[in-house]
Amino acid sequence: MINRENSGNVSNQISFLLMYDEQQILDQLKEGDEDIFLFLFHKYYKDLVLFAGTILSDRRDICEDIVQNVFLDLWSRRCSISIKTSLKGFFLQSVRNGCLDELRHSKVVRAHADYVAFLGNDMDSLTEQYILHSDLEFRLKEGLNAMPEEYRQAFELNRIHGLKYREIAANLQVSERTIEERIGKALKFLRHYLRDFFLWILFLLYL
Amino acid sequence: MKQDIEILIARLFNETLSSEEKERLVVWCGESAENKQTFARMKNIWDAAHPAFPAQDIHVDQAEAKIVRKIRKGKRGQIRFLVWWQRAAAVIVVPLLVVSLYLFFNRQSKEEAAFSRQEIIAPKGTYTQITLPDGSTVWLNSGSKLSYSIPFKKSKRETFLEGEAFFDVKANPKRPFIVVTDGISITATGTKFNVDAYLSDTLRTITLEEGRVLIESPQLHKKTEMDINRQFVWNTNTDVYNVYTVDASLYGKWKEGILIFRDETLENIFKRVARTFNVDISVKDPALAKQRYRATFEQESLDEILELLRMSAPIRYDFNGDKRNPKKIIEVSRKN
Repeated sequence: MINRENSGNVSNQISFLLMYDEQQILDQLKEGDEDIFLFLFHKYYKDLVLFAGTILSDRRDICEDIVQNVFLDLWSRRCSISIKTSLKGFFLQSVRNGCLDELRHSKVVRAHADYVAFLGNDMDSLTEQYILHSDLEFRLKEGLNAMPEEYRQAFELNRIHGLKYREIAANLQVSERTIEERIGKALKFLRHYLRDFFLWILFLLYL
Repeated sequence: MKQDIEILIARLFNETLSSEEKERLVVWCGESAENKQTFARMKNIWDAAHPAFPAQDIHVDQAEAKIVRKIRKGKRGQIRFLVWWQRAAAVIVVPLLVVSLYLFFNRQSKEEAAFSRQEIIAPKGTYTQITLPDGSTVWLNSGSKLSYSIPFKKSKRETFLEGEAFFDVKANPKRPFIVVTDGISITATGTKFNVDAYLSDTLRTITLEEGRVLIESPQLHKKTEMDINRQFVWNTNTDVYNVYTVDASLYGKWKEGILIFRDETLENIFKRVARTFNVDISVKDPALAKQRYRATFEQESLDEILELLRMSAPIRYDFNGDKRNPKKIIEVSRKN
């Protein structure tokens, strides 16, 4: 199956592997293999809906409609389709097109206009290296797993379960000061661990 | 410098960017492809970390079930909601009717040299395609009636409509094509448009998919000219009319068995579904009836449509028809 991409910077070797495996996937699709199709659906559906959400913001139902149509279209054209990019690039591009169509139809001015102003319409360069929601999640989980247990526990209770420092301290029977320290250490660890592609995002999120 | 820009971008995402700062950022983005790339990368990570809606709200299994149902259905068939013998009957009866009426009136007109009236009705729960004497095509929706004289008059091609129809008019500027419905007169030369004017509804809606039409009515002070993707809506209760811009292609989709709703009230969605399947559907809760939804139904059965609506709206439905046809009467109410 496809090698999971964990970071935005895919090395040449991995991308070669990826293309190779994807060719097999496409061949099986052409033969009408529903399992492969559903595998792709499961792998990409959530991420693509969230990606559509970055353009259409709050309209989840429309985002889901668009992504489902992309998959239906892939299935119905599977024999004639030629995909020159990676599958991920193909999906992202198709979903983006669907979203832009929707924007054109609904004529509602949205925040998206801002980004178009900054980037023009050429965001193509990024699609291959685009970092999906699940990539980020995966990488964050990896980072959490790699850090000392004490830090991770404090960090998760605070950031994921939303507990206050005081509550965590009471829970773990240590001082609030200790919790503060551990979370600070956890952040520092993550910042280092994730520095290759989102140093600055943590700077935004947590500092 | 770099750090500086990153702070600006962060403020943009946080929506705390001042207008001068925004100006600076736009300039910076325009300076080089590399800068653009940096911005795009940062937006990417921000988006991935701040989804517009929670990832848990996306139900992959439900979506999968929907997709699987659609792909198993295979090729999109024609008028799927008719059973096979109705289809066979429609295929045989309609042309037979047209031909025999044509022969009949043709003979009559030769004898009497007079115009005769032709009337075509689409039975409830079905729709019918007709070719008019001038080569224009009309699709008549469930329970609608179209009448016209055979042959058309020399000066104009005049038709009378009750209900809903989609017109694909053969171009002929010298002989305008006219549709009269409930006091409204629509004049076209060569166009495609949908007219939705069921007498039981309050709205009369004319949607232009191609070309240009002229609308006249005693209620209007002047003739109204309409272009592509314009929609004329007249509310017969309030006697107010409006012209909107829409995606006109959506309004004629019923003739392919596709029902499309874009931010439509549940009341109207059910009205159309009821008409398509020749059943009565009443929405009990007035607040519920006004809620708006988007939906696309392609060849789904009545049961499938009801089920899909039940999954996305807070509704329940009960079949209240008699034993012979339990689904004839459907009541929709708010789910407790």
